[in-house]
Amino acid sequence: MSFAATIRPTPLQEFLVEDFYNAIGDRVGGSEPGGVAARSRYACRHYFDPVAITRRKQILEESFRRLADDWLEKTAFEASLSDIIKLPAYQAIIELGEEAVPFLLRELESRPNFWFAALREITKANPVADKDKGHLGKMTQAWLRWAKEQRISW
Amino acid sequence: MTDPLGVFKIFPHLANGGYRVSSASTSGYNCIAWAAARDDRWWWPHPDGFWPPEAPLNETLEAFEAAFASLGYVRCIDYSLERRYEKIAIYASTAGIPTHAARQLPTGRWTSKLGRSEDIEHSSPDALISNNYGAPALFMRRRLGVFQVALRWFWAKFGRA
Repeated sequence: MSFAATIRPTPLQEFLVEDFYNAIGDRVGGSEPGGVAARSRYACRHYFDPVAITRRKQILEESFRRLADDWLEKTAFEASLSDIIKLPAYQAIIELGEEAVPFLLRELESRPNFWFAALREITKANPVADKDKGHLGKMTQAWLRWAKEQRISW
Repeated sequence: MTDPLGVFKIFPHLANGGYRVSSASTSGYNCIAWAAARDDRWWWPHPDGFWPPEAPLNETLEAFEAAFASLGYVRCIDYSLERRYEKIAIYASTAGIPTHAARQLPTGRWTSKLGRSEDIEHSSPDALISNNYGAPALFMRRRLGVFQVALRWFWAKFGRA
């Protein structure tokens, strides 16, 4: 029986549990040096390694920073909120997903700007009251308050 | 001709009459708000922007005309200085999508907020014709009260040229 036939697609979280890999290794008789179990243990150590996790966060933050700066530069003279959120840099930030939320909140806190569409798209939340639309300060406060309520640290 | 913001490349016609920077940059308001003489909100027909409830929530000249009509403005034919009126210009792209707005000052010069960058004072609406803003597509005016007319006269005579 081939290895591919032994397993089915599994949620990422399960892949990251070492016992799961050991079980596969036992099933396919892969306890030989350099076999599946050894490779899986190596992968687990890598993904749970604090250094690797920190490095990943750094890379994400650097990417976010580059995209945010690019967006700010390209939108300096734009008035249309529809146009500024269509720009590739803004869309790329949305594609970073939930991991971008702390960066967005930090950015919002330090130099407020129209990051609300990105936050809305990623979190599916909308904490801004209708009467505060367009008011950058109040919209920013509403999102930061929401983030605190959600216990999101940034 | 000085170019303190380095914008002649983007707005080449500004080089003809020059411009003066009249505020610091801020994301707190945009050109539409500034044309409406407001500096506390970003005006745009969008879920994140302020938009007068009387105006349709879409990006058309009709919606922008309705927004300014809610402030007492009506269409007019040009941007010449008329003593008893305050005028605004709404810009649109070649596709007819609104992009920018400017307001006439008592001196006959114009004031514009450039996106989230600075407010500038420029010679005429034509000075901002560009790929970014397109061209002025609609002029509107509203009648001023006696006190405002007197203030304008005073400003024109003794204020900054």
